[in-house]
Amino acid sequence: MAEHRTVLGVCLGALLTEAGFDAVDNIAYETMLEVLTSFMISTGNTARNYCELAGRVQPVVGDLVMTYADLGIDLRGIERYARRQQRLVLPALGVGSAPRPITILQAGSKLPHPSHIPEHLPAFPDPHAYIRTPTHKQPVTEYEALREKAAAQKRDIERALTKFVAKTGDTQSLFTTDDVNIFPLVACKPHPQPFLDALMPKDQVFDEEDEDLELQPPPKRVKRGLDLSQNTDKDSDGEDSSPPSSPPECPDSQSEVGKDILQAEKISSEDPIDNPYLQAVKKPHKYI
Amino acid sequence: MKLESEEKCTDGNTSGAAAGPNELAESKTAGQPLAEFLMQLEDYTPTIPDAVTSHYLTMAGFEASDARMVRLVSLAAQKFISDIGNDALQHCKARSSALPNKSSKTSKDKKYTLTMEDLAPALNEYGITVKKPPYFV
Repeated sequence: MAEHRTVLGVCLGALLTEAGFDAVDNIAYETMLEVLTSFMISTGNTARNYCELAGRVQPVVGDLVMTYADLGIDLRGIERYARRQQRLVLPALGVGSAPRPITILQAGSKLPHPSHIPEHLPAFPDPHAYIRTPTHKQPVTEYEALREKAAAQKRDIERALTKFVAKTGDTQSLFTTDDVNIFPLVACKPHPQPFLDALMPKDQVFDEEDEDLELQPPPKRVKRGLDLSQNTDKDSDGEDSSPPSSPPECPDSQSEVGKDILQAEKISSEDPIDNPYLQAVKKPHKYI
Repeated sequence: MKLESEEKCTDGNTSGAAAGPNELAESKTAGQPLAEFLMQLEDYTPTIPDAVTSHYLTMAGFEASDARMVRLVSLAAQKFISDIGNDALQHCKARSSALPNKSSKTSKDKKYTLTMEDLAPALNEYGITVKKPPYFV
């Protein structure tokens, strides 16, 4: 709509320049443009009315003549006007090309229309705009596979955990060979009063650390207990055909326990915490 | 078909004309020169393009089957506007010649600007009354 008006404005400018004007006020320009537009529309309207009045559908020259007579427009000098010398002929209007959609950021080829969509409708956008492909494999939902997976996971966890504890914690070995690491067994920590667990059942274990700390305070008792047990074991050794690993086993365990005790004593005597941020708060010296 | 329309239009002219007998005689035969003129419009290109004129005529309901009729309408419009412009120019010249200072440029002000002051009386002569409020920037 606005394009026609713009072109008409250009033509109006040409006509006014022909008439001799060098400039035109904006208001006057708009007024003249409205005059020109309404002239053409009223001509068309009136001509159509006359044409239909005569029972026709397509207008004829006579209709135009009647129209101009009706509107009071004098066309007597039109032939002379048409042949005027200083006619300005504007350059022919070219058809502008529609702006092509930007294809710079295109990713992937656009899918063609499905059969139920006519072709004159716009094309689909890039497929990534509406097609969603999951980035992960769909999880397995088969019962068998899931059971197998769960069992395998459990087994692997147990194995890995026991290996870790065996490699980092105390170990006992059932064999007398030099290499202790063939079949390391996680060392059993004998409880000083094993009957307590049976007498005082617990629902939940809150702090494992508290239990370990409780083991440390009575170290001397454990030592004596082990000495006694060692004696009894030695006594029983001669009689029983116990495996050869047990006598050396006790001193090993004893030495290990002894080591732990010594270490615990050392730790308790020295400052246990190296980290300065975890040390006990020292009150500053009071200055006067 | 064309002859019939010419007869009808001439009848219409005789009944509708309100001017003197000379003009009556001229308007009586206004159809013929125009019809002849139409034949000359084959290779004539008016300033207003055909597409624009036919767009406005289609908007009004005038289905232009003949390209020459479209050109006739655009030519008539051009002549109309040119006439108004000429009248406005004469007003402008009269106004500038009425001004006392003739020593400004040459005898006439070379640059003519179409303003509402000149356009309003020109349009009034054609039966179009325009009253615009003055705009102060």
